[in-house]
Amino acid sequence: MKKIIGIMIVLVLMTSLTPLALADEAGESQQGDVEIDSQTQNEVEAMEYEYGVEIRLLQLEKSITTNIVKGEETVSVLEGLGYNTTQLEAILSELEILLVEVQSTDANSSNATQEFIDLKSDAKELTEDFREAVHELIDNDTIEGLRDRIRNMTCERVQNLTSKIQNKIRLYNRNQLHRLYGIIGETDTSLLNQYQNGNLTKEQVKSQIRKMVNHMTKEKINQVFNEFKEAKIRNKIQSRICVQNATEEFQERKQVRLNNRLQTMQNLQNEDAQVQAQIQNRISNRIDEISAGNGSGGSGSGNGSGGSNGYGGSNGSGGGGKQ
Amino acid sequence: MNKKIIGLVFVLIVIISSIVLFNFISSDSEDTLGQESEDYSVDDMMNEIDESLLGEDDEVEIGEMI
Repeated sequence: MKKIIGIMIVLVLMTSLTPLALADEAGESQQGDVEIDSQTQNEVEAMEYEYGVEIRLLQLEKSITTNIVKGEETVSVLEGLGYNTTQLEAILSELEILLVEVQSTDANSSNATQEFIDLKSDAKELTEDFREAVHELIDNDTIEGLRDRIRNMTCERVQNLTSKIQNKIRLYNRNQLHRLYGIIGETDTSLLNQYQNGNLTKEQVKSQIRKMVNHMTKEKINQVFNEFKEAKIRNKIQSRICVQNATEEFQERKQVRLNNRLQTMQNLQNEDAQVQAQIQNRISNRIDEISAGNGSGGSGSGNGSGGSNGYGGSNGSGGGGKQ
Repeated sequence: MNKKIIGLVFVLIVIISSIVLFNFISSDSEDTLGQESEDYSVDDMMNEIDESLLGEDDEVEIGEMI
């Protein structure tokens, strides 16, 4: 009798756990040793199309550059107030190395998507480290004052990147609309050319396309919609595969990157000795953490450290071909 | 006694498998049925187009320094 009750309990437990096992993990992809956040997953979707990789890498470069500019200003203010900024400077130096890695990433490489995910993860981690270090150093009022001071900080490099990104996005959007034209059967591309040249805004183009769609029959709208949706789903699946691939051996790749950065730091001549020691200490600690199996996964960042960026060999599987 | 236990376990396995299979199939068909029978409006179409385009001020978020 006890046996029967035992078996019944096990089966009831199994039944109640089944929905959990089948449930989708909304918003996050986890496999192996890292979680990729939903925002990064969405960003990767654009990387399946032409210009998408270049755009994402440029956007990452812009974000890192902006944070370096803001970080430098923060260090300068805190130095003026007499704080010890060695740790902050160490993090900034690492961000500088990361920036070079992003700039050196080959957008045409088959591992570009993976490298983007890896590098973004590192950027997020370093930014968070900097933020935490600042919060440990100063009180909330000083933080608020600093925040206001750096909020809208920019520089020529960032402005150049902004216009470069805008141009690439216009090319990307033009291609997407051209694909739509193919499905609709529209051959006059003058509208798209005007958009690409900057003579029309995205909203103006959309309003023109709306007029075209308004003239379509219901059947045609359904057909175009379904074809468009189908292509989108295919792209989504492909990008999910890339993201899943990027989660594999994530910590191993991270360890390679950190080792390469450690080497780069040791070769730097113009760095303050104290800062250099701090950087080496930081990186070594993280390498030790990963070796011990405690490396923090981050959320959708890291660095594929592909051969293209000059900091190490790539060992993961990356993105697919462009559509 | 043993035969009874085995029989009971077998029946339970069949019931659980049926429930799981039914849930799986019904959720699958719910996803597809709605789409097949639906007519799409101009707004649906425009939303789909809009989603395929990138915003010109789109950014990759890595967080704030402070």
